[in-house]
Amino acid sequence: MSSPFPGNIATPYTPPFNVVRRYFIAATVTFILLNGMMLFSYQYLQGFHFQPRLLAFVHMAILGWATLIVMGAMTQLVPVILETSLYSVRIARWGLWLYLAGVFGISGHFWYFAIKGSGMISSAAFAFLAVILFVINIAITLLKVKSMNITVAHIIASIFYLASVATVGFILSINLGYPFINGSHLKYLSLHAALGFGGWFSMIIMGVSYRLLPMFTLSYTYRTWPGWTAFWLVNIGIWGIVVEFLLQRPFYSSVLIAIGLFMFSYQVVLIMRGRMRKSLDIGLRHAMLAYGYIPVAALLGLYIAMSQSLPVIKQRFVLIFGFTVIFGCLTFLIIGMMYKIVPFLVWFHKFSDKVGKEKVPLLKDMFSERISNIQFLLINIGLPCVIAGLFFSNQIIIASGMAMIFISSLLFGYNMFTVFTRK
Amino acid sequence: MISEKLILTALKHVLDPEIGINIVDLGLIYEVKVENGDVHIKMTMTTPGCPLHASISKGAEEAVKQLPGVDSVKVDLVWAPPWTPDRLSDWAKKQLGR
Repeated sequence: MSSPFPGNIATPYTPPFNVVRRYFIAATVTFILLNGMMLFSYQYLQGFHFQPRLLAFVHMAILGWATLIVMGAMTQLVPVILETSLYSVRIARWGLWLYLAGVFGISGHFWYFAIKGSGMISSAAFAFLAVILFVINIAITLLKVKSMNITVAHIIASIFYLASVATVGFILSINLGYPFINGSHLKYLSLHAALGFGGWFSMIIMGVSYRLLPMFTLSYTYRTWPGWTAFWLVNIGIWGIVVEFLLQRPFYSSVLIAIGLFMFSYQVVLIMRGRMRKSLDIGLRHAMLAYGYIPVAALLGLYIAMSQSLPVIKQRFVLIFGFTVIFGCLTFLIIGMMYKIVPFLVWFHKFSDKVGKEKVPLLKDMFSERISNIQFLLINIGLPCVIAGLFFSNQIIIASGMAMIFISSLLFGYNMFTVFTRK
Repeated sequence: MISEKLILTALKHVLDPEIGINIVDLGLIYEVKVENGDVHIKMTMTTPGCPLHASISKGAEEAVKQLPGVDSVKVDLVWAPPWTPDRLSDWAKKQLGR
């Protein structure tokens, strides 16, 4: 029986290698920079979340690291999944520079809280325009879809939420310096976060996982109903949050999102139970931890959405939630998938025509396994350390954890450098 | 004289770069026919639409071409019957941790 979610990651349909490579390199550099900045500004990793340095960190992490990687991966993967060409390679090529100008502009203006004047608004406009161009590029490519499947459904939903979260973000960037919308800015911020985390990232993580996980683990026989159930639950939950926001009445829609994320976890368990490859390589070990952090993040999100606890306690959980999502769910999954996808792309580019003629490296030989194991260990100690530090509001524990994460990111960067420069 | 066994031995030098197992033990080779110096190979991939199909099938062709006595090699990539894990050799199953 063939896999219910078959596929692979590079075909003649994919854009030129150097286009996607720039996305991955830019995101990796941003990730290292972010961790360095967080380490040397660890004293800001506490208190109320709406403060300049934290806003700068979050936007750098979400836009400059996670979203940028996903945009690069989608530019590569969507044509493969649909077995068609990308609508515009030019948009993919030039959109990156517009996006980077926007992201670093936004982060810089948040850092100094320079919210008035044209700097913040123009930076946000650059990022917004780049995201909309990316969405248009993927959407037009999606028009060529021949048949709907679970991954395509998730991709369609994800780019819709990406456009939505970018629109709300752009409006908020104007409202921050020049208030014009009724009600609290923070309430709109909650909607912005729900569309980003619950919509954009949930959909893309779930959809891409259904495609790549069976392929990498050789999993062929499993049921797919939990995946579809998760899709509908999360989507209904997000729309529920939008309705709650518009009517200003709580319907506890976040419960649906949390249940949906648990259903996704169950789907991952089913895929993993049916796999032929029992041993997990470094990429899959990272991915498994990301899947483990997702239900934790779901519970934390639920607690924050429904909690009536003291503001100071709740505030700590908001930071723990943000850290768990950004580093536990997104970073682990991104690093894991980069250890699988980047070596493959480079191998395909440099060695595919040498197979059978001479000895070619395996994908796992494209980077140092020893360094990746140390990197994995460091982030696995560093992340719980930072979470514990946030919980106990202890700056020494936070700084120690961040130091380990920073070193881990340097090692990851070194490994990616090794892959990209492989002769 | 060229034989099927010799061809399969040559094909064992072609590895799936992701899995690290050769295409014979993976069970990707469905059929090998030899007529004089002309070799015809029927093979598949673990997943349909795999981009590696170009590299691996070309690799199979190149590996066999290098054998003395081989005049031509034709590799046909087929998707029916689809590959299943049952086609893995015992050695490959062990390598995968089964």
